Amino acid sequence: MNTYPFEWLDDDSLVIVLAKINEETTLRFLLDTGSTHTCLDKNALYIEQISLKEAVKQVEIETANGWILADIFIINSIQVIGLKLQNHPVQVIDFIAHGIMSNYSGVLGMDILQQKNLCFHFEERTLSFS
Amino acid sequence: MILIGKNPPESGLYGLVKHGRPTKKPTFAMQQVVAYQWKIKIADNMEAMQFEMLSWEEIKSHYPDEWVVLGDPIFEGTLVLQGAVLSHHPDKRVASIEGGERRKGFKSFTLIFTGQDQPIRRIGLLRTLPKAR
Repeated sequence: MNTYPFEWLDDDSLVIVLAKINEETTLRFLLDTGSTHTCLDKNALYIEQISLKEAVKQVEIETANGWILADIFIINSIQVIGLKLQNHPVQVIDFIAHGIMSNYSGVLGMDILQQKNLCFHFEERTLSFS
Repeated sequence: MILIGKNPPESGLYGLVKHGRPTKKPTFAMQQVVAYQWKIKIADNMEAMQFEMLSWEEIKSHYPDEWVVLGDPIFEGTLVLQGAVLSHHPDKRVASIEGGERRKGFKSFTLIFTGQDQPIRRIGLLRTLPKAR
């Protein structure tokens, strides 16, 4: 059984996994079953040198702070917790501008999580699939 | 027909091969192309060499409470062990833009904060609405 590490330090921490974008940039993603879709910080686009003009459309999303607009980008490749998705649409917002100051640059939402049966092993800080 | 590019400057002298054998004496222009390609490669490597690989402890002590973009980072689990600091800034946007501009010569990257998250309670909610209103 393949297991994948996650970070969860204490009761005030979030569950963080690593995701690789376009086989180059590894970013910390918040694993969030409360998100319908995967979301990426706009700053990741600057590192990947993806033009902001490549957005295919805009959508409205509801957050804890209210409704905001997000751009949809098609990301060539996302590798996370044993999954590899190609040409996957992700929502892109400016995390800092929307008050997300924590040390992660993406949110792993249900669009990706629902692709496998996920099992948390909190003592070992690992994820596995059944 | 391909240009040899393995061992400069010899590749520039022999220039063209077909099935592993030189086919004809390369023209001056062909040699210039090979030399130019190697000049770019060497320049990329030189740029990459400007950035020293540092351990995560060193990165945290040199750039406390800053966002850093690392080139060729090495991870253990979810932790960064080491990487070359391509950019650093308290502003995540500035660090990201500068890091993106200094990518040459590196194959992988990461963006990370060297400080600690504030111990605050959070609520997760990120719901895409059916259609833009």
